[in-house]
Formats: sequence, structure tokens, C-alpha cells
Amino acid sequence: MADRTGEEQQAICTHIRTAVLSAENSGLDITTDPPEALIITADYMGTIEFITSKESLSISDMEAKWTAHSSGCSDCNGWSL
Amino acid sequence: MAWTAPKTWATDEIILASGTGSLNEQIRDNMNQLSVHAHTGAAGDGSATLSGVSFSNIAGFQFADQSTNPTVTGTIQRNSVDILYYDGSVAVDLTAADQAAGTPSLRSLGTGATEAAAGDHQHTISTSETAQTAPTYAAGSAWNGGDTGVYTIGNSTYTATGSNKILVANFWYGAKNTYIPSGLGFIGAFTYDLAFIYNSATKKTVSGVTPAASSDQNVGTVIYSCQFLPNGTASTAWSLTANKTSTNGTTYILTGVAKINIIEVAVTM
Repeated sequence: MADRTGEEQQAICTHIRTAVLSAENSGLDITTDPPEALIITADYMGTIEFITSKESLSISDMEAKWTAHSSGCSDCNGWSL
Repeated sequence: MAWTAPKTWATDEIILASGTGSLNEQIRDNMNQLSVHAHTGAAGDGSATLSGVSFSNIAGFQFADQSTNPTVTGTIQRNSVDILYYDGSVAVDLTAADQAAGTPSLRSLGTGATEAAAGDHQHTISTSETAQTAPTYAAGSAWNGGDTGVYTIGNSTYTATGSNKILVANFWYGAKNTYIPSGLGFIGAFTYDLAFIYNSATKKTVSGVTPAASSDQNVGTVIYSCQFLPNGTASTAWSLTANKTSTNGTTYILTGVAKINIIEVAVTM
């Protein structure tokens, strides 16, 4: 598969944040020190990764949620953890 | 003396010494003709050129030593103890083994430089760090609290030192606020999208980083990493950009800062 462009990387991050992990994202509190963050990374090889500083969020739970969502999702097709 | 088509004899026919149908014509002259004729392709002479010949049960061919290599395309020829084939540019020695790389030849199995690997085999890969650079960068422009948009935090060029290299880029991002109203510290954090770009292609996107920050301090993100192949040994541009995506109405002078580490790893096997 061809390398993922910067636009495609940004698009999958936005898609996951809004369509898959919207509840987790809206629950972040950035007024704390350190601020709570849900970070999604994507690279040119088609790999995505979730990182969070919010202790109550589970990376494995979010990965499982995305895995369930990605089956049949054309936007997520070709991306992997 | 030409070849005479053999006569068909009849019962009680008289045998003559000479003339048409005589023993001299039929046997002597035809035998003489067979002994001296050239292979011209004429009737009875045969041809000097064989075509469409199929060999079977051949015990072997013996090539006469030509004491030189063939120079006519498509020719197989013996030179001393070697059999060579001229392919139009070089005389390939069909009997030599393990010739230099790039020269077609038989190969013995082994691990030598000119030997062929035997069947399933395993390469042992070794790596070594050949170069590293890790400067600290700061953007040339700053965001206010209400600003969004992209600034280049750090950029430079990198030239790989040779072939068979992998580049590993690690980067840390932070934001420094240098505007501190009287009696106030840094009271907000903003969200950014980061992109590491090499040779005009984004290698890694990091969405939603919210670096912790306090007054005039660089308290930033975790370290992010990506790896990619270098653009040969050409001097190639790279950059780290940050796109501020959240706002508030407070006045800040927010400068993106970054530590960017590029490691060059040599791969051999």
C-alpha cells in the first residue's frame, strides 16, 4: 500500500477522535496540571496509536473499541494498531 | 563424373561393360562419384548443412580446441579445456564456477562472496548507530491565546552518511509562555497537532497533544518517534510543525519548542 500522506494521517486521527472516541475526548479536562489529553498518532506506514494522560482511560479498552468499529468502516480500512 | 540413377534390372538381361546401364556406369562410376562428391545439396550428393536434425542416444559431443574464445553471437566453442558461449557481448565460460559478481557462471553452494546460498537460510542482521543529531528548536513566531494555525517549530536538513541506513526521528514538543501579567501565572493549556515531515512527506502525525505548561516553563509532551528510509545520501529537508487547534481569550505569547533527535542506524547482514 502506498505511503499515507499527511492529510490522510490527520483525517484518520480526526475520524477516530470524533466517530470512535468522542465520549473519551469530550471528557478530558485540560484545566488540570498536567492537563488530560487523548493523543492519537498516525504514521506513513498506516499505524495508529493511542496515548493518554487520563488515568481512568484504558489504552486497551480504546484499542478494542476502535478494532470493533474499524470492521466495516471504510475510513479505517487499511489502518492498524 | 555425375551420379547416375541406378537401373532396375530385368530377367535374362545382358550385362555390358560400358554404355547406358553397363556395370561400369552403374557400379564403377557411381562408386567413384560417391567417393569424391562434394556435399552440394544436389541429388545424391547430400548437403553440407544440417537442419532440423534430431539427436537421440548421443553418448557425447567432442569439441575441437579452437584455442580462442568465440566471437560470433550464438556460438558455443571450446578454448583449451573451457567451453564458452558468445552472447553478443562477452564469451561466457560455461565450465567455470564462482566467477566474480556480475559474471554469469555456475555457482557452488556456500557462504563465500561469489557462492550461492543453499536453500533455506537465515541472515543475521546487525545494526549500529552511525550518526546522531539532537538540537533544541524554537518557533520563530508565537501564538496568542485566541490564535490557531501552523508554525514550524524546527527544521533543518539531514544527509545520510551512506547506503543501507534507517533514520529514526524522536521528538518532544512543548509550549513556552513568555507573557506573564502581573499576579498571574500560566493558567491554560492548549491543544496542538504535530507533524514530522521528511523530504516533503509527513512521516508521523500526532493529534491532540496538550503539553502541560506553567509560567515560563517548558513542560511538554512525551517523546514521539518514527522511522523511515533516508533519501539516499542527498541533503534532505525535514521539519516539525505544530498546529494550535484550541483557543481562549487570554493573552499569551506562546512559543512552540522542541527537542528533535535524528538517529542514523546502519543495517548490515
